[in-house]
Amino acid sequence: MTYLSTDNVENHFHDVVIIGSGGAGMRCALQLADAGHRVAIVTKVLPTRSHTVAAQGGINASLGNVLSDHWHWHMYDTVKGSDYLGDQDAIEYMCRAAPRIVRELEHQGVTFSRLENGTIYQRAFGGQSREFGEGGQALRTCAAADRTGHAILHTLYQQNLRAGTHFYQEFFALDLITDQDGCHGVMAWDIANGTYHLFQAKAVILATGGAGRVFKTTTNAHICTGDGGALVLDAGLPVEDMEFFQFHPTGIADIGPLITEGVRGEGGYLLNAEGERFMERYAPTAKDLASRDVVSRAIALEIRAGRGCGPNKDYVLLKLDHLGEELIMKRLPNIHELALRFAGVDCTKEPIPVQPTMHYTMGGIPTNYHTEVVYTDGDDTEKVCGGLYAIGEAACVSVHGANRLGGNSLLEIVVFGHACGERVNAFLKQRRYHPPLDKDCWKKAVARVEKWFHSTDREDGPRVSDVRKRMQTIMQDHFSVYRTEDVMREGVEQIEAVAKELKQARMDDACRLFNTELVEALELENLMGLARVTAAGALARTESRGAHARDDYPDRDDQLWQKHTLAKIGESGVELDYKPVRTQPMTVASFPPKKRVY
Amino acid sequence: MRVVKEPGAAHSGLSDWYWQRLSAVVLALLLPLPFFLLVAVYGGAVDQQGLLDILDHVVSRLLHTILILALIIHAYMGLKVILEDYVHTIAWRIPLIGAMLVMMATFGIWWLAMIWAWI
Amino acid sequence: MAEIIKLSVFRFDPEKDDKPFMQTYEVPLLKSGMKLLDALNYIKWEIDGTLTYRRSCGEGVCGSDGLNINGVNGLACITPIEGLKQPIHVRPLPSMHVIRDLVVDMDHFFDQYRQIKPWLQSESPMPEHERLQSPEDRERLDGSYECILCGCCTTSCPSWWWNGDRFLGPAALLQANRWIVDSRDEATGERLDQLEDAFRLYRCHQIMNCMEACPKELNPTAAIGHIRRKLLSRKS
Repeated sequence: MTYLSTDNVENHFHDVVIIGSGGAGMRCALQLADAGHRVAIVTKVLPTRSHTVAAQGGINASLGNVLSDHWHWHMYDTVKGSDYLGDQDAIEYMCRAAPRIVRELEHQGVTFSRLENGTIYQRAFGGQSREFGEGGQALRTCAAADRTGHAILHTLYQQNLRAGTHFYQEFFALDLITDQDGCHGVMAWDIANGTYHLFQAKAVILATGGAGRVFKTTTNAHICTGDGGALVLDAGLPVEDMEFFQFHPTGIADIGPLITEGVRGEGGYLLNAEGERFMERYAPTAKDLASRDVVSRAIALEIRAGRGCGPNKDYVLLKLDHLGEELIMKRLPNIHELALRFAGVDCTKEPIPVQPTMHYTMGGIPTNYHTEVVYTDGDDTEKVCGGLYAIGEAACVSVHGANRLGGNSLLEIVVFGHACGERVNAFLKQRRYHPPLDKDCWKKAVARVEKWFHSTDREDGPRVSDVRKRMQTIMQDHFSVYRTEDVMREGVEQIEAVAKELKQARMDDACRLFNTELVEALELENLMGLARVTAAGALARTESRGAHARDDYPDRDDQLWQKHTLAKIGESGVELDYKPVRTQPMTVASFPPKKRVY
Repeated sequence: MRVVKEPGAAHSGLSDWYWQRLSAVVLALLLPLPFFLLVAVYGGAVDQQGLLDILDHVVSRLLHTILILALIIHAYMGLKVILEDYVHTIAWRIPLIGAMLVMMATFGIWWLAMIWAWI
Repeated sequence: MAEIIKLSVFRFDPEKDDKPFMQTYEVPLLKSGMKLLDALNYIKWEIDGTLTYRRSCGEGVCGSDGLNINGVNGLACITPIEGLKQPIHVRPLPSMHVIRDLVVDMDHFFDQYRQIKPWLQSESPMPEHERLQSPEDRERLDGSYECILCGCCTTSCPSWWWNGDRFLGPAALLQANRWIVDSRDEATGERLDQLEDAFRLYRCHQIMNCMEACPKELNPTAAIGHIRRKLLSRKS
């Protein structure tokens, strides 16, 4: 029975509602379900379809199974990789927790590849060193062949089946229910049955993943539409550092599927049209295993200098056939399959055509390292929004700063999934009851959906897919690997224009059951908000840092710009604000900014 | 939504499968023998008296018995699987399997009676 | 002028239609190496927004878009258009309840997955570090842990069509075997007990459709054979 002012919304009561069934959401759900709470995962897809499944290379942890290693070295690499925009307390927390959490994954059943002595296999990955950059390449990335994300996601799903987590599959989150005390639930749309549901919860956790689909070519799944960030923006809270989108150096040219950094970790390297191993020029020490932003920029420069391959000279080659068929089939079988299927290349014989491809959203919902969502309130830049948490790619803790290291994304989801579980567990002891809600709290979400059904009566206005395509093209053309003032200014104007167009957009499908066009429309609304924020944030940041590289401001400016961007969407458009980087780690000394050389 | 209430394992799968495979092996070994005998008869290597002598021999009778048992077990198991595959109503399935069992047992007893000359 | 591809797609709108029907679409061949999912996306985004199907990763690892393509189960995102006989008949996975168009109800499939208790079970105390596993023991998991639960194998199995309520189907049994062979799992006995049933396991008649259908080139029939041998050796 409902106390809302409608009978068309079904009510659910849970202790915790987690939006998103990727690695972060499932790790957190497992923690809380095992602690005996009533946990609901609300997900717009079936579990195991989430994008964690596509992560390939591995997960970083200083286990030291091959070469001696230390979490402090890992921390140094992560801080350096973030181009000193990462929050060092969060980075220390993550790197310290990594070995324990990765072994725990093993105990839960992840099929890690093994070394001869039976311990977890670790491979080389980009931007990772020993002894604070002095001791050469580190072997830190724990791998399950090149299907690590798949192995982890399936294991976490299995553990959640054991723990009895409630799954609400194919439910689309529409609106957060918030008041001055924080967040108390979420409105959702049951895609299959076309009905509205209100999930009331003492804690709401956003684990909705990245927003890769704001770009046209991406390694990301169709479902990576930044839904959590958009929900937060909609609730009047800011998102952080959205201008930092990572371009992975090796997406298959023109199409996008990811070729893991593990290929270079195992000994593969990049060649330009002249057959030159050009990374030796850009990163004399780390070569092909420099940080991702460095390699992506190097490829972009090679292509710009006319040394790209192919008829349009727009890609370079990733050579790995010298590794031998046996090693490729043992350590990189999935890469072999992807290259064959999408590039038509047998990588045991020929190189793979690759180009930098949008891959990861460093920015997201601002949180502290306890995963509580924070916002600026007067002088307090870290004010906690009660009952609202964010984890995984959706969040910006920020451990990745301006550039993420390969292998740190899987680590982030499990470490902060776990941290979130701990924190929520403590929080639930304080918040014992579901607070009563405003009886009209359902209206905004219902209006959001119904407006799209009304749009099916109209003949005029652009189609949802047209608007999406235009938005993605603008983002791709104006906010790519290299950015300049004029191009971005034009991009901001165009994005704002397209955002207005979205209000007039219409859809064809009036059926309420499994209306995927409606889902795409809602996803586009989410993407659009984040695209606007990305564009505005990128234009404002007049420096080059990590993934944000500008021709007109080629250097990093720590005086002015070692700070996080916070962006909200107000009546008048995007409102930018900034907050300082937390440079003080939990226990160790801070790593001051240095020039980044690989 | 199709909700299936899972009845648990009946712990009978292995023995069914085992007997079916075992009987198949026995058939594979023994079934050619009568054909060899027939070929021998038609080829003129064995005459009628010789044939009867062979069939009358206690070893032949034993082998013949094993063959019949294996044949019946194998046919019963195979047909049972087919009935289980295609007859979904338990109220039909069990009587059908039962009827089949009775028919085959009758047939088997009749044949054994001939071999051992009980009648 | 681009080459035109003809598709015949299964349509069913539960609000309007009494019966499903096949609808014809024409899509230009956008590029060489174009996949079936690209064609479906083209229809949805350019021609007919009402076409309904599931998709996520688009590179064959999430398992969302299992479909019946010209009579054979497979993933739309990795099935190249070239080489398919036209018009390409696109239908939902066979023997499943259709929710709408190409979308089927996967609940029972996932229930069966849960039935085999697909998680690591172990009695011995948790070691301080990882559980050790030799590379050889780990190699025995190759060919089963890669399963993406797309349902292509299970829905291609005639035994599952006739007795899907009780026969676990190739996907679940492949996973059952994955835990039986995992050197870290200590519940092999209970797992075998749960499978020792004429319907759950032994309904497999080695038709091998599963192996043909698997987009990841796994072999559930071999896995089922392995479970049978395990059961046999336990009793002998």
